[in-house]
Amino acid sequence: MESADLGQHTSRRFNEDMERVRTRVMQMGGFVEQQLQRAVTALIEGDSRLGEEVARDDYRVNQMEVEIDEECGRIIATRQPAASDLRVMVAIIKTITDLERIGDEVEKVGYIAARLATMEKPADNYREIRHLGKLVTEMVHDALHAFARLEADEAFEVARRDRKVDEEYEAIQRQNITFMMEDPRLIRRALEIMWVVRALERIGDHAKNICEYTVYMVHGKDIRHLSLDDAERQIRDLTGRRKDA
Amino acid sequence: MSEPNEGHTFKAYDGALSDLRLRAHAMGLLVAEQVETAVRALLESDREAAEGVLARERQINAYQTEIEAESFRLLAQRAPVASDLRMVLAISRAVTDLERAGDESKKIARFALASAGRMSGGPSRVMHRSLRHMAELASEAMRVAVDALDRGDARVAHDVARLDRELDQEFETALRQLMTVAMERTRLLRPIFDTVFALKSLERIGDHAKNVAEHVVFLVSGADVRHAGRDLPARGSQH
Repeated sequence: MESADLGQHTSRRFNEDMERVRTRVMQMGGFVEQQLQRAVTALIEGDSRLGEEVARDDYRVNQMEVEIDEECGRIIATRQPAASDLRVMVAIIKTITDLERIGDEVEKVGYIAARLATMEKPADNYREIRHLGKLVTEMVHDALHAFARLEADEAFEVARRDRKVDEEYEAIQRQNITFMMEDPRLIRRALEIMWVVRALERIGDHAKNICEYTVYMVHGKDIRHLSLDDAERQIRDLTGRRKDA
Repeated sequence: MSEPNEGHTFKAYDGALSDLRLRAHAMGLLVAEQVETAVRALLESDREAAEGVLARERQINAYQTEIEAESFRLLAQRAPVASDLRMVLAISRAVTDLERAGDESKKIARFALASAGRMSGGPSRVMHRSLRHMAELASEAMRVAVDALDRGDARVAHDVARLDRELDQEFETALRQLMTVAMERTRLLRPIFDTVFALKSLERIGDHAKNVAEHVVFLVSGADVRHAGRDLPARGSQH
C-alpha cells in the first residue's frame, strides 16, 4: 500500500478541507488534555467546584466530535478522496471517537472528584493517582503530537507506555483492596477511587488507539488487533526499512 | 431498508452494501451471544465456555477489521450518497460499539477463567441473580439493536433505551448490595470487586447497544442524536 503523501493532492480544495479538519482535531485534543489535567487537579486538591465544572464542560467535547464527524462525512461525500487521503479521513474519524471517550472518562473523574472532596483524604494524598494521572496525560499529549506530525515511530513508542499504565493500575487496585481490608470504613471512598483509577487506565487505552490510527494513517496498516511487537515487525517488512538494534 | 435508495446503476454495489449489512448483523448476534456465554461461564465455573468466549473474541475483532475495511473501500470507490452513505457510516460506527461490547464480554470471561482456576474466588453468591438478569437484559438490548440496524428500523430505539435504563438501575442496586457485603466480609474483597467489574461490564454493554440504536436513528433520519439529552450537568451517580 502507498504511504500517505500529504503534499501531493490533486485537489487543492481537499487539501484545505483536510488541514482545517486536522486543526480542529488538534483543538479538540488540546481541550480534552486540559480537561484531564483539571479533573486530576480537582481530585487531588479536593476541589469539588472544579470537578463539577470539568464534568459540565464535557458537552463541549461532544459538540466538537459531532461537528468534526459531520465535516468529515461532508468532505468524503463531496471530494471523493483517493485511497491514501481517505485513510487520513478514517484516522481522523476514529481519533475523535477516542477523544470523545476520553472526555467521557474525564467527566466521570470530575463527578467523582466532586464527591470525594467531601470525604477525608487518604494518607498518601493520592500520590499514586497523581503519578498515574501524569502518565496518561503525557500519553494523550504525545499521542496527539505523533498524530499531528504523522510520526509512526513516535506513535509506537507512546503505545508501548500503555503497558506501564496497566501495571500501575493493577498495583493501585491491589493496594486499594489492602487498605479496605485494614479499615472497612474506607470501602466507600476506596470504591470511588477504584473508578477513578479505572477511568485513567481506560484513557491510556484510548491514547494507545490514537497511536494505532497514526500508524494506519502513515503506513496503511491496521494494527489494532496485533501485539505491538508483531505490528512493528510487519511495518518494518512493509517499508523494507531495517532498524539498527 | 425502510426507505428507497437513490437509484443505483450497479448491482455489484447493492450486493456490497447488503453484504456489509449482513456481516454487521452476524457480528452483532455473535456479540450478544458472547455476553450470555461469558456470564454462564462465570456462574457455572465453566472453563471451557470461558475459553470459547476468548476464542470467539478474535473472530469479533476480525469482523471489525473486515467490515471497516469494506466500508471505507465502498466510500472511496463508490462515493455513496444520501441514505447509502448514511448506511455505510452507521455500520462502521456500530461496528466500533460492537467490538467494544465484545471486549467487555472478554473481561467477564477472564474473570470466569481466573475464578474457575481458583486464582480468585468466584462472584459472590448474592450476585448470581443480578449477573444473570443483567446478562439477559444486555444481550436482549444488543439483539434488538442489531436487528434494528439490519432492518433500518429506528422505532425500536426507545426499547433499547429502556433496557439500558433497566441495566443502569440494576447495576446501582447490585452495587449497593455488594458494598454492604464488602463491609461485612473483607476477606472476600477481591472477588467482590471483580464482581463489581463484571456487573459494570454488563452495564457498559447496554450503553453500546444504546449507541448502536442511535446509529440506526441516524441512518434512518439523518439526525445525529448521539449526545442529545445527555449533556445536562448533574445527572446523578456517575461511574
